[in-house]
Amino acid sequence: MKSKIMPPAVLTVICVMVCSLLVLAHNMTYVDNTGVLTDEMKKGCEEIFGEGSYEIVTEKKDHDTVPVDFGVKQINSVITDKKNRRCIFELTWDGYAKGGLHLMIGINDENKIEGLYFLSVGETPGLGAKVAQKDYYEKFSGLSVESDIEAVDNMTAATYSSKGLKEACEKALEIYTVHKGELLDE
Amino acid sequence: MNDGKRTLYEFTKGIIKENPVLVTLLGMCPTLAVTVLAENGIGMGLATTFVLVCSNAVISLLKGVIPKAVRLPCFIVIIAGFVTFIDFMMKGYLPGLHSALGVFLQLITVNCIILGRAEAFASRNSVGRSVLDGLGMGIGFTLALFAMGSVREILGLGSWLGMKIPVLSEKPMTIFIMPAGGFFVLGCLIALVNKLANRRPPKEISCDNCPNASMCSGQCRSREGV
Repeated sequence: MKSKIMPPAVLTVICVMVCSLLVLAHNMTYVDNTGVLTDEMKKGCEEIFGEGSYEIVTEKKDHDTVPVDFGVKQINSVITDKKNRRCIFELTWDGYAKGGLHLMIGINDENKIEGLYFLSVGETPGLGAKVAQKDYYEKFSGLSVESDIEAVDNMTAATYSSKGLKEACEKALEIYTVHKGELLDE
Repeated sequence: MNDGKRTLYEFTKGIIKENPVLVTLLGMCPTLAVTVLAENGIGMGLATTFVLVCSNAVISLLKGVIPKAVRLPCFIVIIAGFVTFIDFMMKGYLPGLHSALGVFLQLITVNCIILGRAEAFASRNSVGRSVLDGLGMGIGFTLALFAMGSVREILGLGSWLGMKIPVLSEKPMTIFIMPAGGFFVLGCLIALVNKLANRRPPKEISCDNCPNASMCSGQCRSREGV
């Protein structure tokens, strides 16, 4: 009887002890970085608009503080500089690869795209990844209307990535137009 | 062998004579995957050393309590616990290194060096000896990874520990940071260690000249019916 009970009992005790110690270790080392702007994101904001006091817009959801996404799962965070009335969307959009475009889109007070900044590109090197070249994405600066964005030529051999980039710009403009007052505390 | 010499031997054997990477050829996956940079080699080596020392100590402490039937699941749970702990620590305090090591950090759990030492040594020896064995094996593993990482980084990227090396950094040989370069450097290091240890191919293969003898205790011979 003892030989049947002992092995699972010992294994269970060891599992429980290890799990308890891990819960302790997790609580000791966990750092809540919700709403904290990373160095790379800060660099992106400054590249688009220049110096400013940028912060991630957060909201309370089920007792937790989370970045606002307006129900769009591709929006990771919305960063604002309320003093200078600037807004930047950080999005992960599908290009040819799922979630291949991780970028920031800056929109100015005139509802126009100020600039783009790529945080990472998971598209095919030499093909889809070409949309992250400055001479291509700069074509979106100053655009504010969907038809103008659609009129930008797709990058050769990077059609899906170009389409993804256009969709991301259109969605950012759409969300900004609807929620501008809320984002900039008007 | 007297007690003092034996204790010293438990510590030093893992560094050259029974080096887990260059002699017993264990833990090849992380060795080839993370040694693109010397810094990654040190990080991976130290994380593995920590897990080796701690798991050896705990397994040696519990060797009288753990029933034989469930010894392997128990060892894995203990090892996985320490791996998760080091994962939390690295994520919190060294996020750059954490993302560079990627999935290979969690895969320390199934690293055959750790389970091998737990089964072959820690479950049969005292806590002190098990800790020394883990420390020696860990240092041997770290040195091997650091050496491989250094060679690959210098030749493949033209830098060492992030410092640019003149001439080499202008036209690095990128093959060395590819998998093929990893195998090539590993082969060269194994040859170098064999030369340094003046090791020659045995005339007859037996338990006396097998580096894995301590782990298998002659089980392979009984299986083969020799």
